Amino acid sequence: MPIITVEHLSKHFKVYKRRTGFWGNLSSTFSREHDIIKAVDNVNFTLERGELVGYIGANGAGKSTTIKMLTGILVPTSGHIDVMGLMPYRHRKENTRRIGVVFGQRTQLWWDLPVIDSFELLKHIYEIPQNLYKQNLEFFSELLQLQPFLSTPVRRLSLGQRMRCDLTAALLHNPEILYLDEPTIGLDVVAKEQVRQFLRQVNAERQVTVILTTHDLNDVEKVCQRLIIIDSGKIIYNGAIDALKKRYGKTRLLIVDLAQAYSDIQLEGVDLTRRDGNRIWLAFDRDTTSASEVIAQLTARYEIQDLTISEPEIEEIVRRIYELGMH
Amino acid sequence: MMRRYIKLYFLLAGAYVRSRLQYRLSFGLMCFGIVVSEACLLGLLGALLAKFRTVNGWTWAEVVFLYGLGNVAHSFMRILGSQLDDFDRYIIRGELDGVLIRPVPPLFYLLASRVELIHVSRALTSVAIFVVAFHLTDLRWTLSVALFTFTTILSGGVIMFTLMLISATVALWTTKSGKLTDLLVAATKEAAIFPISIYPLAVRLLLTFILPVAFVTYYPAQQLLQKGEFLGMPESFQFGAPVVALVMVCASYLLWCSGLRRYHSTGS
Ligand SMILES: Nc1ncnc2c1ncn2[C@@H]1O[C@H](COP(=O)(O)OP(=O)(O)OP(=O)(O)O)[C@@H](O)[C@H]1O
Ligand SMILES: [Mg+2]
Repeated sequence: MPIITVEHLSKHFKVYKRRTGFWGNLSSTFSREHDIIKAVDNVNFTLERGELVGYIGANGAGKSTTIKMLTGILVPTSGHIDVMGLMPYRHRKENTRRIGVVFGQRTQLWWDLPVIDSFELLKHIYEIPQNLYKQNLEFFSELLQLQPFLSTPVRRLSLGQRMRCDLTAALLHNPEILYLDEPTIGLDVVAKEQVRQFLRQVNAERQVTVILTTHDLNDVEKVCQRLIIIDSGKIIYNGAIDALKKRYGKTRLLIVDLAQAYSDIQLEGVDLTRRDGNRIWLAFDRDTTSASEVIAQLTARYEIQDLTISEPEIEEIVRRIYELGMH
Repeated sequence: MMRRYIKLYFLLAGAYVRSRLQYRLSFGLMCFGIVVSEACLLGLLGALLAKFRTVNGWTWAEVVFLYGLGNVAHSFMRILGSQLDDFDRYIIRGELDGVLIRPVPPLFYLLASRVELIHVSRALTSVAIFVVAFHLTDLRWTLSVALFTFTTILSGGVIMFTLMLISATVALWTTKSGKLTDLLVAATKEAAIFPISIYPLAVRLLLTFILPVAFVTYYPAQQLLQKGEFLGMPESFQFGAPVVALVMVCASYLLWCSGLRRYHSTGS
């Protein structure tokens, strides 16, 4: 029995056209001219209890919109969401007691108050029993080393410290599901690693189901077991990360620094995937084309300065999927 | 249940006040400004009335009484409804997101998490004015007068609050209501200050049936001051304030609920 079931879920936004200038402004105030943005478009997936799933997609793909519908913030345009037997927006109150939410872009803590005050307030908001509260607070402040800044106002925390506090705040009431929208945004390498480690641990020790969105594929690779890729509101991949690598990792990449920026580059069996000044990225299928063939072709036609071959990283695979779509 | 919410209200409001007190100087200046502006307004009113003596048969004391009544209701409503002051900005910034993930009714959470102390200073000034005005009239405190006054102020506050809530809720459809709210707040307050008999019929009907601020001051004052001016409306209107308040509460709450379903959050 899945903990989250999403069926034919869609969210459409009406965006009213705005004209410029005084008269344009005035007339657009009264006209109902609009575009429809299909932010989420007929999406289906399920999550099992205890899973750790990465939800990725390019900017504007519909990740946050999906999360907001799952958490009950937005009402879906159509489709069905079942979270632990509840409909999030209809049974909002019951649902929120059983979930934790972190928005990386916006803190849920009281900005001008000491961190500990936010935790105390949440204790009352969620009616967390005192002993459970103490136990959890101890557990998280130990794990995330919150002690040194518990009495510092939130506005004076660094981004990394703030994120650790936000994570704690979302977990104090022992939620069964944790939704994270870009939890590593803006963090440095060390802080990111700390968040990842923490999520793995919370998932393993407390059986919290985690769904996270991110633009850093390392998060996904190091934390998640499963990957869901959304593109323009539609799910284009849903499965294990290894399987994605196997399926799309046939493509190798050759990065070449040319002596000059040739205007027209023509090579057989090779895709020019990217270009930046004199540097070009060439992708080719390892089964049909060998690296030496490609290099031979290149050197015969162009003057090259340097080259490297890279084996497909998840990052590259996903970048190609964002750019070219799934084949 | 009730106790939980009362406690939560004070905790959330307290958190806001403590946040604000971090910026003590600006708070002090604002309070000072309010006291000064209220005093000026009243001074102006006094000067005008001293010159004309009566407005449509209302004495100076009676008009100040009306002003005080409306102002007390208005200022208490502003304390409780501080959050509605610039609700559209709140919605545009997508801050309802953070409210909707809490296991507490959103409207309660919103109102509790902002209580402007500035409005408290306004309320204290208005109470002082009202007490003075009360003694300027021939009214004397008896139990029934006190009860009626209290009910009137309570109902009046609720009526003004619901009007403000309704105009703020419009932001959930249009994502902007700031000007509408400001206009409504100013208009209702000003309209409540003067006896509505000075307005043309259309305005009187508007203030009775559409934006029922006449029930905040004018009709209840008929009972208190025994003026017997009903302008062709039923005499029972003098006791109508609580009923109107109740109807407005239901209407505005229903509108709020349907507005919440339309909440769009933001794109980032
Ligand atoms: N409140 C809104 N009103 C209108 N359009 C919206 C709104 N929220 C989102 N959108 C649009 O819906 C689409 C999906 O947005 P969403 O925020 O879900 O993307 P995302 O995948 O989270 O992107 P990012 O990685 O940039 O955060 C975008 O085209 C966005 O402009
Ligand atoms: Mg997003």
